[in-house]
Amino acid sequence: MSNSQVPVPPPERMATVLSAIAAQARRTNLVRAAELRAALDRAASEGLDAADWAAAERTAHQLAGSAGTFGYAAVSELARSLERLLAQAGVAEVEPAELERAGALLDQVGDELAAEPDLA
Amino acid sequence: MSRDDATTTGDGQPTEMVKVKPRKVLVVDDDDIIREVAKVALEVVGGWHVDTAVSGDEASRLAAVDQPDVVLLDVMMPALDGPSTAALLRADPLTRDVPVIFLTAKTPLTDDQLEAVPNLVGVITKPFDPMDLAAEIRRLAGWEE
Repeated sequence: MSNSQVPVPPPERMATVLSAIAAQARRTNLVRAAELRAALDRAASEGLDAADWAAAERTAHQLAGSAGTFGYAAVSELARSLERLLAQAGVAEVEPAELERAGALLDQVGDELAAEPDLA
Repeated sequence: MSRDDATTTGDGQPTEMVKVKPRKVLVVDDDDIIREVAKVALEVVGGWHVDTAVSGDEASRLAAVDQPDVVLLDVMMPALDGPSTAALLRADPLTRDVPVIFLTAKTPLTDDQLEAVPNLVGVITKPFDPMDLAAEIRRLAGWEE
């Protein structure tokens, strides 16, 4: 069972706990961005099969879902655009221009994740 | 009156404390971070008991045993997605009436997806604010303050 054994913090520690989770989320999302970069590089050099495209789409989906929750709204929007692009790539021939566009989106994701989150 | 409130007389004086179990929420998402933040937020802010599941299969097993008051269900998951998981819950007599709230980063859902889940009580869009999540679930589930 994956019911995570997260101890319940007292309410006054909520901000601290969320901040710690946000830091973990940022690290996880940086890894996801790196995984997407590697997938795009492989797509350009040797191509990807349908399963690889689907995996990349799912990674972009998770990035979109979690980044915005932790103060990276722009990353969420960029990742959603990337997710749509990757979904199309999985079912049709991928043009070099589309890979370039995906790469540019990923550059922007990297720039945004390098900044401090907006947790206001 | 809330499940957690005291019973009062007409003049507002408490007469007895009603000891009730906290609400139970099952959070289903394949993203570790989302499960963790939702669990913490709902336990601390909502004061509820929260179980988590990483997949639709695990969710259906857990829901049959734990009988949650609501299932917060990610739409896009590998293998069994949210709508398919909701259908699985619906097919089991033990979980058929459990309210479902979809959690999705992909909007909007199609009418077919929404209509296929009779006990769907709402949709929460990712990203969400952890501090507002409990209030949003309470509102969608129709739970009293």
